[in-house]
Amino acid sequence: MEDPGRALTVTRVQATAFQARAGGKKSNALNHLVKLTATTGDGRQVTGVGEGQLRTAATGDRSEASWEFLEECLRRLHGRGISAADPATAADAVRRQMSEFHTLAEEHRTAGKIDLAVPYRGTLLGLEVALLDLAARALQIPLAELLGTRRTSIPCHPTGAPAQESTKALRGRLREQDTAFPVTHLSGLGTVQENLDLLTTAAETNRSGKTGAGDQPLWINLQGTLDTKDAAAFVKAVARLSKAGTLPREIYIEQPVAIRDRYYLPLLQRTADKAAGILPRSGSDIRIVSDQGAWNVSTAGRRARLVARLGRFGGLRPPRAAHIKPAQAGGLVASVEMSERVHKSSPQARIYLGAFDAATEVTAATLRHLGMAMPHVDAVADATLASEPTIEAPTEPGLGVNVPYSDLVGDALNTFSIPEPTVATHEGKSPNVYPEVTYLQPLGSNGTKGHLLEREALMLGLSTVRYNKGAFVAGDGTREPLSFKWSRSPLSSAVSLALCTHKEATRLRLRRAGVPVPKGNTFAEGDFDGAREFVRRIGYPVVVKPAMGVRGIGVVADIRDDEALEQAFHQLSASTLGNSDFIVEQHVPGRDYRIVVIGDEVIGAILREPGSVTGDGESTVAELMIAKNVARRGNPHLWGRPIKYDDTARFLLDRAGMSLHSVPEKDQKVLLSGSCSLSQGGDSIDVLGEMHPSIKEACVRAVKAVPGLAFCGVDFLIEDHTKPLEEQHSGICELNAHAAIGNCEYPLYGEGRDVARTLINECVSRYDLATTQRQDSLALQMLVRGRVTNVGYRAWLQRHARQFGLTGWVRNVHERMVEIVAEGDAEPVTALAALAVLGPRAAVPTDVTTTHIEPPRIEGFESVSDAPKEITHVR
Amino acid sequence: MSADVATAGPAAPAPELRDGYEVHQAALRRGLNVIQFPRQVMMATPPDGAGTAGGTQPQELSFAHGVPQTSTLSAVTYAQDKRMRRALLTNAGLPIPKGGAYSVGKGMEFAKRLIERIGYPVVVKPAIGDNTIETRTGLRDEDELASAIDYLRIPTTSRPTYTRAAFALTLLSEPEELDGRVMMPSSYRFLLEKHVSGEYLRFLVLGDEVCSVVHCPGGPWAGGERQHRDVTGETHTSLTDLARQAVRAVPGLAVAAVDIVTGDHTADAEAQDPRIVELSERPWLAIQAGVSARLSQDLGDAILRSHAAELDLGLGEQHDEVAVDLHMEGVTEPAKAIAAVAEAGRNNGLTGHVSVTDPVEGIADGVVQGRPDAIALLTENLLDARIDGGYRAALVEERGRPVERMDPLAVRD
Repeated sequence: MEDPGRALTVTRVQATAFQARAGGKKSNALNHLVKLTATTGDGRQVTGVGEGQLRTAATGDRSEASWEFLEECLRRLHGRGISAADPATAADAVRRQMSEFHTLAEEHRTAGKIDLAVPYRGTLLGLEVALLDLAARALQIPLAELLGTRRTSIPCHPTGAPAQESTKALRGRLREQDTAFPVTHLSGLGTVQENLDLLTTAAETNRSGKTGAGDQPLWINLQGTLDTKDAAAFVKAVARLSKAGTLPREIYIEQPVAIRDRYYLPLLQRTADKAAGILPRSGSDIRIVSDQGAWNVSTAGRRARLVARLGRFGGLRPPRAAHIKPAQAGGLVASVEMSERVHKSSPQARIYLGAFDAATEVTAATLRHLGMAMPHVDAVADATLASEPTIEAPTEPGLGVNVPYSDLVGDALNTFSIPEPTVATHEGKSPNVYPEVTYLQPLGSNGTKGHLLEREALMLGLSTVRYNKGAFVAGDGTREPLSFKWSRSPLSSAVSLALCTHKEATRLRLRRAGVPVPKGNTFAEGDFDGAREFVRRIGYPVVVKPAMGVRGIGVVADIRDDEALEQAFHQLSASTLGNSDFIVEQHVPGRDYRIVVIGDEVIGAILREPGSVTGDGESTVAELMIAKNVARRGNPHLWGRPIKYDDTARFLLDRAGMSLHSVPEKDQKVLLSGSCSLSQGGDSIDVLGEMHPSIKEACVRAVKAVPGLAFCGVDFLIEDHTKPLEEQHSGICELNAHAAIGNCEYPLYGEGRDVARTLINECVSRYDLATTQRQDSLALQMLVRGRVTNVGYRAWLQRHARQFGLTGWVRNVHERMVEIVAEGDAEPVTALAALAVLGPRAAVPTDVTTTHIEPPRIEGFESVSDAPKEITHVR
Repeated sequence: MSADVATAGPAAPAPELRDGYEVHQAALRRGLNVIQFPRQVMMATPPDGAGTAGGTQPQELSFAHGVPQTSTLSAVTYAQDKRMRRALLTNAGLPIPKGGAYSVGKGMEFAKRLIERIGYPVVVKPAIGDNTIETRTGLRDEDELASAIDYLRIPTTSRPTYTRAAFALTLLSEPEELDGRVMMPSSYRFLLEKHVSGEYLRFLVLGDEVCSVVHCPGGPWAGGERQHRDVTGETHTSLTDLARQAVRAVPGLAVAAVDIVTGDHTADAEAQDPRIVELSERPWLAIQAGVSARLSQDLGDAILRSHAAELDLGLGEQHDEVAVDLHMEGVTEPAKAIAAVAEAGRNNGLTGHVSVTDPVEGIADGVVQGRPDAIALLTENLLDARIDGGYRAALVEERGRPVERMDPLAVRD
């Protein structure tokens, strides 16, 4: 009979998908962070965290399917009771819970929701660790104890040193690692020679080490990068170098070939043995290590038996070494079981415990606890380790780490929570979600900037030639085509940009046009007397900035007295930019507006506010940031511009007496950025409908004052956009002749405006191009020229076209040309036209010619060698 | 006495100021009022036009570096990207040298692979930015190629012949420190082309018309001006047609300089193998000035007239001596600046007077009269901080007034 006082009830489930960092750099790796909150029978609240590592084929995960699965598991967990009377009961409860999830995973596979064998192992890991952490914290014991602690310390080694580093950096990194570690672990990449160089450098560095452990074993993980021929050559060369004494005696070569070539691993081991056997230097020991890839291949059909026979170690029987990664093995309990199996089949086998690259401290802590519970293990990889070659058994309850929010708030891709997560609202408005974001994300964070105009041109029946991400020409086939580069269009003159990119010139010009601008003046380097005199005339507050400054560097705003002014001068003379002229101008106390003018009309206006979150009385700052950044992910202009947890955010939180873990009160606004820049996480709020006519009129007047300026983003500081200008302080601080199109097209809050459509319509009418009615669905032929064959272009394109839900085909026309025929809704079809010029990594497309065709009306999207249908061009 | 100094003529402007300077003096010569801003942004209005204040727009001609308002923003941007320009010319079926653009950091291997196919000698120049500058020609081996690429690693601000138009794309790649040396980042790109030998011809295309052809035996780069020869009348129409087609391939350029290398400028293009090696949105009249100052001046006037015709604006007669009311704003260290302006003007034969109107806000006014080229040079240099002492103004306005007898230009208290 269970003691109800010792049962846990899960009250809150949360998960965040994020782009994990490796060595501080954002990688393409997707991880999950799972956080569970529960109340104990005696009313305590405990939390548990776990990190899942999703590595597609290697862990049986696919980002969308895995996320859906995780949501389903969390929904089941919410409100559920978990027995935690004692460690054995708790461990059993977690095991039973996980067993339910494993069954669910298998159901997903049989239902065709995922096409990988033993699915969702990376996802399940996050759940399992969070459950174990939760139970261990409730029992106030280390997590390792739930698994059964078998040791009090374990040897460890640093995580792999990457091959991409320069030799100098690599040596430095290896020297930092005391050579007393049981093994030097390396991440290989590149050619056979590059990997041999990496091994040689590591061996040399080890020998030169203070402790003189020159023959320390090397472990290189090649991550399946070699083909079978190169792998054989590599193994032979390693054996030769080991024989010659250049490399140590004991070398581990992990997954030299791709998973699909795993049948080759036993042959490679034989090659190694043979090479080692005929070598005079006795005892060279080259061990091929599988990354258990056999799990990841579909077990359907005729191959099932073969896979079963090969077993889980790539056919290496008995395995001579195993590198167990919990995300791949299927969790912590599975890792324990695996080490037992390896040991049973081969007591001599070396067993190492590690994780995939790109993880937070949660994974590092997980490995430490798991290591203590492993029945057989030689060493554990530790990313956080400084120089200690041994890890002692952790003593703090649970994993002993909190959610590492600082690592993931800026990199969050998705979030889920029951109770429902806080939606970042602005004056009752929810953030906009734009469905086309799916098609625009593959174009990169500046994708909209180079694509929206082409989309509109194609929708009007014009044909285009695109040269790169930013540049395309559009024409009707008769008149001279129109050229575009980002938002530089044929509507505006070169002169207009020349004037607008000089702030002082713009200010003087606008002042003459009777438009409100801040009073200001430029001073020669060091002419502080002149500047003081000027400030006496215009009065405080003022702004001081370098005349040739970029991106706001060196700007000191809101200077309110002589002392602050002197400080600003001091800063100016100290900075490297101080070596030039500087500007002193009136500080306009207003909010920051971006107003878009095309021709004689204001067609868009947004208020820009500094990055912030608003409290709901329950969520932490970090959770609110994640929710907001996930909302931004649904915005084509903002998805690549999250609120960052940077020095400014830390400073602002600190000033407010808060941290990422603070829980702001309901409706409390927490500032996280010092500028209104949308790139720094600022909010954009559409205000066009409420804008006072006098403001619009001033914007149009400002634009008209610049010769040949037909498209402009006016940066206006205004106290209140609903009031007439004459009733408030205001000033235009900049005119942007090449303004971004996406910010008013896709505001975070409020109505999006047709900036691109208006701009193209204006171009078409100015240059008298013949167009059709705007079409919502299109059939296009794209001819892609350049290095586009034998580089995986067609498979890459087909994958995107299918994801976009398009029909059509892709085929090679000749060695330097690919034809794409695509039919579907205008948004995805035109996005594909923009994407086509990027190509996969090895491709170098030079241009893409896109023309309209009669809809071919075929099923699916195939890569073909001959066009399945004849196409007919329209116009 | 003004006649005496007038014959002396002013010193020449810096080559990169030449275009703006020529159009500026043409405007003064024809009695237009002129407003100038830094980086050679200039507006010119007829003297009877309404003022700019009050909202009604007077008819206004405007230029940046002598490039008229009718050159579109996207067109100049395309012209400044040599890879784009090559693609546009190729798509128009026009002959260009074999070549490709690569990054200074990782492009050497690709460059060598290309050279295996096209062979030495080759030409190297920056892939983005002003055209016709910093061109290293006749590179014959790997060492010379490496040295040319190495030169482009020097930060642009430290390269003596580097220029940057006011309408240029923002350079995303700013210099960075590598191995203790400040260099352009490895992503900075260069263009490599097969060096074509033959006669080097510079065409000036205005609208759809070729209005000047100069034969530059040593190329159009600094140092060879004395060998430049005006061959406008004797150039075969097939070659001038080729230059016009090249400009049409980059739609939206009101004026352009096109460089073609060919066997013989008097012969039919069909019979030779001409190659278009440059296309610039800036006219670069410094080349024509190498032939004669008069040629360059006339072409500046032609650009002004062409833009005026597009706007249907009538122009007055040319005058060799003009007088203007001078108004300057944003003048740094006004008292010293005005003294330097007076001295520079006096040395170039100008008469009149200048004074500081508001020392706090940097405003100065005066009257200047003399040769239009001397006035243009004076204020172009002031706006570009090229007068002695490096003083500068942020706005200079010149409004025509009747010529009268005056003393050499001096500061009036």
